Amino acid sequence: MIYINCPHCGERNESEFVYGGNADRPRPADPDELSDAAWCDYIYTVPNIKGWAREFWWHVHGCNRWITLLRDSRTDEVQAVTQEADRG
Amino acid sequence: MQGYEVSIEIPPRRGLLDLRGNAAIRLICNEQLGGDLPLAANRLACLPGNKLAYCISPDHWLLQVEEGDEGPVLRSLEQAAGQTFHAFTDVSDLYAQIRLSGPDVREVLVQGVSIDIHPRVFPAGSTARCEFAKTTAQLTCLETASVFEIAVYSSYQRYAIDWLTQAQGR
Amino acid sequence: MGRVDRSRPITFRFNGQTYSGFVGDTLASALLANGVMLVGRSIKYHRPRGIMSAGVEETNAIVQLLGDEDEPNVVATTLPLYQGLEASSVNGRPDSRFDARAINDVLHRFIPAGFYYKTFMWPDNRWDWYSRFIRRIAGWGTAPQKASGGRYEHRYHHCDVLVVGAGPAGLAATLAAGRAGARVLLVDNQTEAGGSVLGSSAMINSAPAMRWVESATTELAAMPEVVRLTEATAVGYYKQNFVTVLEQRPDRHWLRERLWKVRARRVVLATGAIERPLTFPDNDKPGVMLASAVTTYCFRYGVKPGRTAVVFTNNNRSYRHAIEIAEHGIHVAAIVDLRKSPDTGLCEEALARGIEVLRSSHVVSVKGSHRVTGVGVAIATDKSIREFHCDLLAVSGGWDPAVHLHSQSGGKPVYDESIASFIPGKSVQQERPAGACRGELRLAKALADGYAAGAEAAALCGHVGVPVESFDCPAEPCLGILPVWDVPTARKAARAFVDFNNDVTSKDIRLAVREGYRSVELVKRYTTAGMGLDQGKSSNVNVIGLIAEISATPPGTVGTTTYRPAYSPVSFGAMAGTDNGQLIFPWRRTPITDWFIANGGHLDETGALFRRPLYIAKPKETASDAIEREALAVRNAAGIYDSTPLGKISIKGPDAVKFLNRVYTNAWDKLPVGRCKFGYMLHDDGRLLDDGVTFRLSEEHYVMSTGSGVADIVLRHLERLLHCEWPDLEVYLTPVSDQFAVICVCGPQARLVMQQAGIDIDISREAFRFFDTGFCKVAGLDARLSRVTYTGELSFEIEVPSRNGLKLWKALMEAGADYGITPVGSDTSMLLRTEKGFIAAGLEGDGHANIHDVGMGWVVASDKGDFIGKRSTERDINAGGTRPQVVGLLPQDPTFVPPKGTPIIEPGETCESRESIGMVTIGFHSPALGYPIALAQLSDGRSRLGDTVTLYTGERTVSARVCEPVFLDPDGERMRS
Repeated sequence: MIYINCPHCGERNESEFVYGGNADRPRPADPDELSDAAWCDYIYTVPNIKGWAREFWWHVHGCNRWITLLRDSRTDEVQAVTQEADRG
Repeated sequence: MQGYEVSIEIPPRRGLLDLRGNAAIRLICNEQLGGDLPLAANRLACLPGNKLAYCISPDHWLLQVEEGDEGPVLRSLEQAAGQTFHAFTDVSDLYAQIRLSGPDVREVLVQGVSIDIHPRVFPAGSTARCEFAKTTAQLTCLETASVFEIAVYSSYQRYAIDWLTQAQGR
Repeated sequence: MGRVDRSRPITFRFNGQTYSGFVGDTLASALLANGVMLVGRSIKYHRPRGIMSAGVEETNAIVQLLGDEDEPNVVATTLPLYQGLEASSVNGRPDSRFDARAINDVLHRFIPAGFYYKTFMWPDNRWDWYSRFIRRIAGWGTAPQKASGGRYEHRYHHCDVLVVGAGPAGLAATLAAGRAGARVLLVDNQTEAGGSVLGSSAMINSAPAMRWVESATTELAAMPEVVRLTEATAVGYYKQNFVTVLEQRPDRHWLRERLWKVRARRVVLATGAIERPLTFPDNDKPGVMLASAVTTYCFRYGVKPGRTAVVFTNNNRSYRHAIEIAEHGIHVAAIVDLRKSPDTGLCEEALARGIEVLRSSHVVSVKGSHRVTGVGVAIATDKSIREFHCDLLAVSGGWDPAVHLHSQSGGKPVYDESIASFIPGKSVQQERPAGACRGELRLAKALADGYAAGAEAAALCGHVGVPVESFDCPAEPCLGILPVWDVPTARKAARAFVDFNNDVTSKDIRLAVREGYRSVELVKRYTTAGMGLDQGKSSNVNVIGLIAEISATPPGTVGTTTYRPAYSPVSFGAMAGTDNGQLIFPWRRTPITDWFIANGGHLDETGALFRRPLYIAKPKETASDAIEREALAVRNAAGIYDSTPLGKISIKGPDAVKFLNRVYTNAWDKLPVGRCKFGYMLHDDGRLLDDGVTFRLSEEHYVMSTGSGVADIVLRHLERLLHCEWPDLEVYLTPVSDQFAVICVCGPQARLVMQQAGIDIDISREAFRFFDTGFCKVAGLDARLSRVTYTGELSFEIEVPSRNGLKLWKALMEAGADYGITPVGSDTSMLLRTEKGFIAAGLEGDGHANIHDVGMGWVVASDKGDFIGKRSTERDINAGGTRPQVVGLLPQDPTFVPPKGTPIIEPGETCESRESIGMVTIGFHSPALGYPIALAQLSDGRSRLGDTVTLYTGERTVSARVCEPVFLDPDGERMRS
């Protein structure tokens, strides 16, 4: 049960959040420009990073906001670099 | 006697509005309501006319009004907001309130609330939207330290009461 | 004598005999006081076993609690005695004194390490067959037959400092942190504070140590922010200082167990150290006991576990124990010391009490079968053997700090030569070990260390200003340990046990290493050493030491296994807590749920935590009769359906249309206010996420309805896109599912029912068209009325604030009485949509099908730019090949209703060939048509309309004709009527 320091709500149990995937993979602006292979790579090759990665999490049982946080997949250490995912 | 000393009741019905909007909308609402919507998540403010404003996040509030006022208040806010981007919604039936009181109220709540509700950090006047017994709740500590209100999505109301009754252990 | 209350006697029963003890006893101490040493049989060889320890590390005294709250595998050394307790040995039938399966002990040479793996796999994986017999022989205790009547509670707890262990270091830590004003939780698995000093003659500040313990607990009790739990074991240490604590017998009498889920800012691990046995032949006989356990029984419980003792050791600490044992009136015949030169001061003290000290010596034989009667000691200096009569052999192989929680927290224990054991390594979390847990075995130092740890933890939480405190104790020599991992023996057949719990001998470890196992993790799994109920608390380090010795590597290089939760056994009741029965998960209700329960509704979980009626049966009606009756009512008269569980999302803002265009496959620009339309939502991989109707209520306000099961998933999908991909869009989403009750009236008589109920707008075919939506009053209630359908009939969907849901339902039931209005369940609804060929997400639209496969290509707008799922749909087309396409099937046998998942094969293929070309997604007997129908995914199905295929049922084959996936009213005249 990792502890996530939500920028709005403070430290909350992981069970209040929903994981929303890696935050450094924006959806291609123009998917038609991509080849079938490149599009497949975007859709199906989900990064599984060992170490620190930026991730989206949805605080569904709290402030209801999507936040971006830095997490180390080896230790589950969560850095307080929790930044709004959206327009704020 | 067996079990915790807590009474569980359904408080009188109130009106509830869900307000979304940026800083400009907040100022419009503040003016209209005659008091400030709180700016930080999980803060509570009393507004004139027996209204309570819960801040969910910096652009999201729940405004509790007396029963029957939700329509008029919603219309006046809509009118004031005009074309500025916002979303005001009547959610009077979306949530259901449950009131808990008694000396053991925290003993019952800690069985399902994972946030810290120790009186040092969650005194009277505190509120938080948080996980409660596998669902979401707006948890509020009222004037005295031993009275709490829990608002859950209304389809969960009976479950929440059953759960609390079980947690009470009577 | 001791800390038991002799004014409060208790009677209890063990293995059918009645005994008496006192409040303050454990079952083990009471048994010893009654002269019962033999408590069970070992798991594999069925050797007689006696009480070995006085704590959680016990390997032998495992009992079955009998009576109302029967429970297997209870550790007698930690079970407080209570009036009426009844227990029996878990292993050893018909009784532990005579065990028929002790024959295994004679055959032991045929049961080596890995025996099960090697033997019972032959021939041809017969393990299943063998295991039936092995399980009967090898079991631990019996599972209870009925549910526990006790209450098990979970609770969350937050604190500044969690202190684990209320021995000297833990108490000192709690005092320091508590004095600083921190919120402290002190947990300890004993019935009272004191830890190691409960069973010793130790002194603190020139007074008996227990006097200091009492003053400390008194001071703590007066601190409002300090919570102290007894019989509470920290069993799991998880990420970010999340620690689970199992509290047994809480102070609230109606509670049986309580599981604390603790989030601590700082943790002080004052878990102490566990004495380990020595590994020598027959070291498992009843009467062989840890030296510290003997003193604990003497001091804490006032029990003499024997009359004459021999102490066998490799370290200085046992001298203190030997002296204490002697002071309690047990004759100590000798201290057998493996070392050449023990501490001279201690030797003199022992000699002064008439205890003979034998240096460079070791026990070579243990006499007696059901109880030790004597030992043979080999003396290295003159190569002689001496015999001693004794009924107690107190052993000590050293002290193992309880590093388990540190290891669970992510730390790596490191080997410390000075105590020949492992101590916590670098802290990974906000945690600090203190006292004996980090190898500080001397009392004064453990106290000071604990106090410093508590003060530091409090300071790190912002609580400073702890008064200075000093602890004065008599000087103690260092441990002076000589690690001996396997005491030498000349006897080939002799067996020295390493893990008593799982009957693993030093020979098993040697065999495993000889067969190539080097990693301690693998040796453990191969031999099962450390995998018993005690999880190797007393055996792990002996195993590591032995591997190191055999493979000639330092123990530190071998390393420990990774300790995992739970530290000690946790009951299923404690894991479940109060979340069982009706509360096992949140059960959502609509305003109509109670009406269904009262009126024959057969409720089942149908997604999104709602339980909906599958059908609403009349008395004595079967399920299929009820469904048929309901379906015919919808087709011929009127049905009424509770659609409340459908998800509802309010979409507001100037970019709402742009947003809908991006998340749905079709175009939304031209939808007028007061109209709605069907939308098809894809994942970006082109698979169906949801289909539903979205209503336009005003210029910038839409309401989307979603499938009930996917309401939360759709909201997450949409919110993620809005926040993470398109933060520039001015759109707010508000989930309003529970704000409204939604009731659908459908069937040819629906309009008449509505008019009868009372409606203030014109709902004629021309005035209120299919896919119109608008506000009105129905039965006097404010409502939004829409013409949408899932049954293919004339339908009105009425949405009211949920407080009015039941009122509306009852008004419509009353209004429809003359028109044959019939409540309809979700199974019936599924049948009706099948007749119409409406696609269901999760059935026809599964994880393979794209929008064209399910025949919904017409919902794709080709000229509106990008939308979620567009590129993947195109890629499917580019990839070519055959696709699983949705078709209808008409089984040629009118009695055959193909079940979901029925495979489809080519005609002429036999069942044996099993070349499936498709699958039935749903099948029903259609009451309206009078014959069976089915929907299916069929390879290239669209090109096979009119063909005959074969349905393969496992027993027989049935022919079916492929048809368009619509069986009734193909032009939709009814729903538009």
